[in-house]
Amino acid sequence: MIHLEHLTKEYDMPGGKAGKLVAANAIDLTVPRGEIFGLIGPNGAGKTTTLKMICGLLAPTAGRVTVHGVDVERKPEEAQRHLGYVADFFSVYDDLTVWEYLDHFAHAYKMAEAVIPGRVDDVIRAVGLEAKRDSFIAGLSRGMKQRLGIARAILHSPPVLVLDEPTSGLDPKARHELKQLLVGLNRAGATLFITTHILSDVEEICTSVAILEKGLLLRCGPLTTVMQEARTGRRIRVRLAAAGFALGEWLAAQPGVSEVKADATSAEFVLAGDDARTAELTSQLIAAGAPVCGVQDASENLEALYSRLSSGETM
Amino acid sequence: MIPLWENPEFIRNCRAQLRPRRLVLVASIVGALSLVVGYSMYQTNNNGWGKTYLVAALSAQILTLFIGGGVACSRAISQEREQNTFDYQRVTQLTSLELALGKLFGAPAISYFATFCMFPAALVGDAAAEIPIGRLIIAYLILFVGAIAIHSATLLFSMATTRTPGGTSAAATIVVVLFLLMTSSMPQTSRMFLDLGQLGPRAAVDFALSGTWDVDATAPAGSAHLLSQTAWTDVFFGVPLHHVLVLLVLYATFAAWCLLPLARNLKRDPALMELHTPAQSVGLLTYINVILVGFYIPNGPVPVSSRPYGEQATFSFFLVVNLILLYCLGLVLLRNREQSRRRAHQRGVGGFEWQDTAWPAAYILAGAGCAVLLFLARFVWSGVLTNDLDTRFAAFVCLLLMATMLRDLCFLQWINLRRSKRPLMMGIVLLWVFYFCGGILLAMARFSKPMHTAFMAIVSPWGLATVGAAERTQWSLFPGPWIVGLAIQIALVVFFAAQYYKSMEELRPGTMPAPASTGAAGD
Repeated sequence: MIHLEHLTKEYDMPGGKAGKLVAANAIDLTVPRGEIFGLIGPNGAGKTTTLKMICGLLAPTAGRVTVHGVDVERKPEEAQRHLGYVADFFSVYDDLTVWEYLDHFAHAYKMAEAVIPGRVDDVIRAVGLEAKRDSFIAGLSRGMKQRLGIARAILHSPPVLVLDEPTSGLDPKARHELKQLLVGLNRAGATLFITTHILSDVEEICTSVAILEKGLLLRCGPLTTVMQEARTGRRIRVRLAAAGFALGEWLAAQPGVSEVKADATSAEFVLAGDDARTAELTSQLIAAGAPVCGVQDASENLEALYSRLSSGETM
Repeated sequence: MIPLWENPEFIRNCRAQLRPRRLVLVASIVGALSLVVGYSMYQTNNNGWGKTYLVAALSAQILTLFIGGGVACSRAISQEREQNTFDYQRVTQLTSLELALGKLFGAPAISYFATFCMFPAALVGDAAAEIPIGRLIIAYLILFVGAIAIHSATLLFSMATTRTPGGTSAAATIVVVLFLLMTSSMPQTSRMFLDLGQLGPRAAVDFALSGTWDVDATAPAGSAHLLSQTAWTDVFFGVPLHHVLVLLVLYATFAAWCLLPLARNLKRDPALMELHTPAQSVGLLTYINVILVGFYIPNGPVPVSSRPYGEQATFSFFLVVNLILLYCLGLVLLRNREQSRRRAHQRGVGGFEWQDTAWPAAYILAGAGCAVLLFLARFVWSGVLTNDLDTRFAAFVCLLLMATMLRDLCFLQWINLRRSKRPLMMGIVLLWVFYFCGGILLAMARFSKPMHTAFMAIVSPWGLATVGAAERTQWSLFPGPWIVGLAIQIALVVFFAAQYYKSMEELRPGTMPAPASTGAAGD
């Protein structure tokens, strides 16, 4: 659906310093149809630059972007027909009403005149702004303006939605509603490309993820694969009901177990193997007489993985 | 293309600006002012008040449309950039031209409405002064087409000044448009060099008051060429034309030349903006030269004493005009770091070709070639210039000027790749400091006039553009300093082109760190 081919964007270092700032460093990636793709990275990693190049708002220094098979630089309008774009700022025309705003963009997307009124009402309903249909945008809350932005982006039913930090700056309720809306759009067939630095959002809604830092793509792929690839083994935590069993020694003697940290009633270790191996080890531990009261997967989450990667640690 | 009345950007502007409450307010203010002004004029001058009232109404409409509308257009794009709404327009299906037209007619919507509210006042004045309604209609035609031309220029300004805040754009627009309104409304100055009436919108007022439909041109005694005899006749390549027609065509073509870069760049990445293609730039230069050559008053006995005589004045006039045009063309064509970097990546590690290094020399030379051919075709080969023109000297002056100009443009192109906030501005300042200091040093050297001009040509091209008979004699007797001047300019062109090449080399992709290994989904 979205294909980046050796995408590069260079800027001058700020303040006239020597060297160059590489916002996108020969990025190659493909976002398949139906994905919710999360591009994560710290501020200044190059997320927004990459996203703007996908939308045709910034021209790459080198490389190519295709959306729905259309080269964005060569045929920007044709590519943009397949794209809905939501920026990371709540910029709307305050002097228009909600309905006028959407009607304007429906015409700007050159939708058929006959379908516009119905479609505008549909998207107003989809983003829950029915009560504000004839209100001036200036009077809307931040969350409502964000939903209006999404309404504008989905107005022409694009197969690809590109969203820059869609949940930042929203209160928890608005954030939850927005995530539900995005998941709903994905279920309806849209491919979503989201940049964010809120990792819990990515874990919650994204199916694929890429980690970007200083323009470099550190990891990319389906969320589960990225997490698995990042692991050297499965981190397991075991808790005993009572002390008295030499848990540390017993675990250290088992094949595939490493990095054991134990005290009198609990232990944490890395186990090479899948769920079946975990179940087998638990059975053996119980059979050995350990009063096991809890076994927990303590593997690192996306946040821990991201912290490890972005601090320069290689995997 | 979408018709204007269905253009979403036009409709959005109208919706936002023409709210009923605002319309009532504007109409009430304009109505009250019209009544008070009309009544006071009637009381002051019972007989001729109609004419005065009509002039006041038309002048107010000119100011409202040109200043008010101009300011609105000058903020139309810069304000959207400031508000971050422009990117959303850029990703729609509207083409750059449709977006530009929507802004061109939509941004000044409230100015058009205020102008419309002044119609009754103008009609009352017209009726009281017993002026035929046809003249008033033509006056409005001039007014509206002129407004479109000015609005196109200010909209282009709004697009091109990506780093200028909206407020600064508006202030600059007011100053420039007021200056243009004043200078373009002087009929005598406009006929000093060209057989062309006043170009400003004041022509609309004059036509309403005293316009005629007659085209009147005669050949003055001793001359085979026609010259206009009334303010409403212009002579283009010897063909008498009505000034209103000429004015409308000039306004329309000016607007078209402004819309061309808008249609080319409005939805583009601002860092890669290129107002015209090189071919379009040469076309624009040729178009302006056709107008100048076509309307130029040939030498000979002419009715207005201030008109120039002799081939030297003609030569100098075209030299100065083309020098200014070519400098502007060159400045527009200069490439910034971003454009050069992209070019460097496109070229890959193979390096640059000579066209890149000599940019934009080839197009400046092409433009100059077109201008010279037009000049020769009109004035020399057609026999209009009857006196002797030292063609060898003229050719040498052109060559020297071209070399000096290329030196300056190559210097600016090199400076434009330096790492600073506004490198081009810095380059222009440095250039003018060089002109100024060089001029002072040469003045202190106390050379004789012709010799001074020859050396001055090494420093700045401007003095050389108006050389006279003394320099021609000096050139014939002592060509040495002139030849040295030309050689120095050529050496400097090569030097600055080499510096530019070195700067471009730094931008080549080979200097970039190698990308780290990446995984790719489904790739």
